[in-house]
Amino acid sequence: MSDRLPWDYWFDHRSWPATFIFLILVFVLWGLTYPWDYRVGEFLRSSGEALFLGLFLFLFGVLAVTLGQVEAQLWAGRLSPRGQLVHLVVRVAVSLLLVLPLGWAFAASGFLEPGRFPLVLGILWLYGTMLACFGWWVGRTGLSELGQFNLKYAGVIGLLLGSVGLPWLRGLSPYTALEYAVWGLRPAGWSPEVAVVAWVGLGALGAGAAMASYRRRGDGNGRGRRADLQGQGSEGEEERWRPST
Amino acid sequence: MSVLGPGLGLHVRVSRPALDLLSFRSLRFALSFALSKLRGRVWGLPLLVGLAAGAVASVEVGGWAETQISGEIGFRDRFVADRYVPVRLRVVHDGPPFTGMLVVSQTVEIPLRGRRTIEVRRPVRLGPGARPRYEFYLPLSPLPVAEGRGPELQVELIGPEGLRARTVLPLGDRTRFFPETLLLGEGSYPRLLPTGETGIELREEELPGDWRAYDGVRRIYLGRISLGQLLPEQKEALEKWLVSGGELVVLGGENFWMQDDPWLRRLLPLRVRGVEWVADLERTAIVGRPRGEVLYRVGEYPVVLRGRWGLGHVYLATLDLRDAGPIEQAAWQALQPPPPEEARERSVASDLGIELFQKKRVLLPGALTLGGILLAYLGGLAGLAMIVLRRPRWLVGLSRWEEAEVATTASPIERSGRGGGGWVGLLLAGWVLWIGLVLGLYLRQPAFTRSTQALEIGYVFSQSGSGWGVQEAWYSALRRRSAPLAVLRGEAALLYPVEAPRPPGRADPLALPVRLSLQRGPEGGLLARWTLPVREEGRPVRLLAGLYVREVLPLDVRVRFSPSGEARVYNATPWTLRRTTIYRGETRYAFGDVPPGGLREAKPSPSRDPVLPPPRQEAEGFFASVKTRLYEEALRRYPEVLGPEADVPWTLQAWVEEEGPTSPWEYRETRFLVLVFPPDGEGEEDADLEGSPGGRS
Repeated sequence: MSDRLPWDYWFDHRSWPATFIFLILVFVLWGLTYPWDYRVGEFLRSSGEALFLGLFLFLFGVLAVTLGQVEAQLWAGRLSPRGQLVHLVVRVAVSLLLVLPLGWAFAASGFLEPGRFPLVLGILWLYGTMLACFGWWVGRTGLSELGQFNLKYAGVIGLLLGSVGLPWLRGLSPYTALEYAVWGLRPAGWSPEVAVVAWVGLGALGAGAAMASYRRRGDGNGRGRRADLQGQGSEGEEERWRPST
Repeated sequence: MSVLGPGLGLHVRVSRPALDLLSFRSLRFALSFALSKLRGRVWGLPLLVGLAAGAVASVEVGGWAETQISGEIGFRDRFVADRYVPVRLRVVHDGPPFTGMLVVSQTVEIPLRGRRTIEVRRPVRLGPGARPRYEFYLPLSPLPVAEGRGPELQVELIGPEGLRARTVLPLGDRTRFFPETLLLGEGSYPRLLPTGETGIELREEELPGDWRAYDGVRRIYLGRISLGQLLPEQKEALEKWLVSGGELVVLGGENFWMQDDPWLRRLLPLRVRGVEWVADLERTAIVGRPRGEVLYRVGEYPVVLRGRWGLGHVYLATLDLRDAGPIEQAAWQALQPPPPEEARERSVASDLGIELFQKKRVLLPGALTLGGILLAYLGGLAGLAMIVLRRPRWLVGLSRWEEAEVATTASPIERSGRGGGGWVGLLLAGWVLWIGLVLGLYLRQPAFTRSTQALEIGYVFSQSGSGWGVQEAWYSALRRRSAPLAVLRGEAALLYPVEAPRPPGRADPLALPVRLSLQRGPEGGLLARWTLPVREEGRPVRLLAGLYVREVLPLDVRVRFSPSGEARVYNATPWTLRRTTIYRGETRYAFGDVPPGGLREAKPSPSRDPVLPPPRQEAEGFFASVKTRLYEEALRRYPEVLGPEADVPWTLQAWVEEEGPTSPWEYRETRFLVLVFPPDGEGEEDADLEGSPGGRS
């Protein structure tokens, strides 16, 4: 196994469609929440930005978990676990880069100061990496496609709703972190440092669990990519492991 | 007094007598007590010397200072509510040199609106023993600070280390609700004038040199006063006040020799020939040729005249009406002012600007344009993805076998160089980059990048030849982000904050405090800074800021009618006057757009209606309604110079239309109605329009 890949290895036929569906959904979301023809009086009362940010976090969370699953299934035979982790972290950053024009259009409607872009990207990258590590672990659990699907959405929705509704999970709230990055809001009892530490901790937990599975089961699980690369895999088997988007 | 030194932050204010007491009596007692106890001990003397040295050092290092502030408000400590009021402060400073900020502020709670603070800041530098005087101007409200706490004005002296001195001036019993009358001149005026007015008597030297001080003054009577002794700034302040709508009553008579001054002669509604004995009146009176309206005459002799000066009026009584007699009584009746409510109504701040601004579309990137650019971006990205993924086959020229292979490999272009589409990929990559560039260029437009969108509407009145123009403006701003909100106006502008409506459904409107801070800008002018709340109950809120502004500007638009019937206009304003039109009886002159410094000529054409044509609704949209409302407002406030009931021979009407960035944080759209009318009896005598500087005569 090698950690060095040619540049075109960043483009695979699973993460690209997932990323592209994500981009299209964000575009639709932008179209729905954009103040198309607002008078000043309406603009004062509108709150489209909150809806955009909330749903964007959900979509991006789903994409990040999917990227983690793809990583576990496609690259297990080609990269070392550490190489896969690096690959995953960079892939989340590339996804953010691709969605940047849409974020720029969002900022142009007056909701976001351009100077806050780096902080917003940083927060999203951390959030995405944490969920991607979770997805990596999900991809390594050996569950069926349906099981992975359920686990993925339960994880993302649970995190988003739980961190809003449950006081002891509030420190993890990506929405609060994004509010902090976009508007500088810092509610009492929440601190960006705690959120960052918690996210890094959760991400490390997911990555650690995924890596541990390599020790238990080797560099692959006997199904999926490694066999495919050697021309021995079956199409039906691969379909079973195709991550849902 | 700084006990531990300036850097240590412990400050105790000790008055000078107390310090003297401490210095002498207490110190002598403490010293003698300590000496009696320590005498004969080996360590006693060094300890005493050390303590004394420490005390001296702490006083030397920290110094001591006593600063006191006393103040007087308005004229004779009375002020008119919600008008600009002069606040005269005297600072007494003893101690080391001090540099800081003198802040005069008033906080009020406005029912159903919120808490508002207006403050005026001025940097000060005080030397040892300084006794400087400062004059501040700000609109004062009779509303209370909080429940159970009456209206008050706070004065604070703030240094680098914090608050140095503070004074609170209660305002409760000093408030008046109608504009005042000032009485100037030797000899006493009756307590109640025959017109029913009660005035405040002032000496010449007490006249302020800033026109803002006269905001709460409706009328000034000039008696036996030596105008030659007035300072130029006092005269300019009086003239600005007059131009903006004040009333100056000159009580002439045999003492006109005292009042006589070129400045006054220019204003008077009479070409003065001299002071003579008038047999009809059996009194010594001013004689000359009237050039204004004669309100009262005895035989052929005018006794009371009125002339227009800007939006104000100058009255001249050719006699000194303080003498008793039937002619004087009748003349006083001619000077009867309109009801005070009318004068108050004229210049009261309204929220017209905010009312209109709320109906304006927010300047945002066009959704269709932006959506198109984003779709093009996504399309380019999709094409690029297809190239990279080697799909579909026809695009990249893969064989069926290769396609089947790439469908099952992790990296479909694992073997680089196989298959076509390289140049298409390059083209698409260029496309994505180009779209990014287009997006960037589109979004970099000032209308979208500025954090504040502002609308400034209003009107400018100018009497041709006076050299002054009165600008009334409503400034409204929508702050989109937590960026600074500031606006620069002329140094002597009157700025009234207009409360923006709060977001609907608020339980406690007082939780959103607004602060307007006025101070001199870094390069002159008056800088108004708003501090608006950013959030409410943890949620971000957007708020409007509004200002009502009155300003007297040096301004000149000159008009001349030639004997052949043509009219010429010379524009000496800094603006392009759009759709400039003169209405003169049944005749209309259309000049089109007249640029600054431009001269235009127009032929007469018949006109049925002596008013502006209705705005083109289709072409101007929102601004058509703005212009209609502005015209209606101007007509309501000043029917004597505008509209069908105007008593001026002609009116020039034009629009100022500007929009663009005015600062790194503001994008402003401006619409002004410019109205120019002639001086009394001299409107058609201006000559030499070419190259006229348009300055004051």
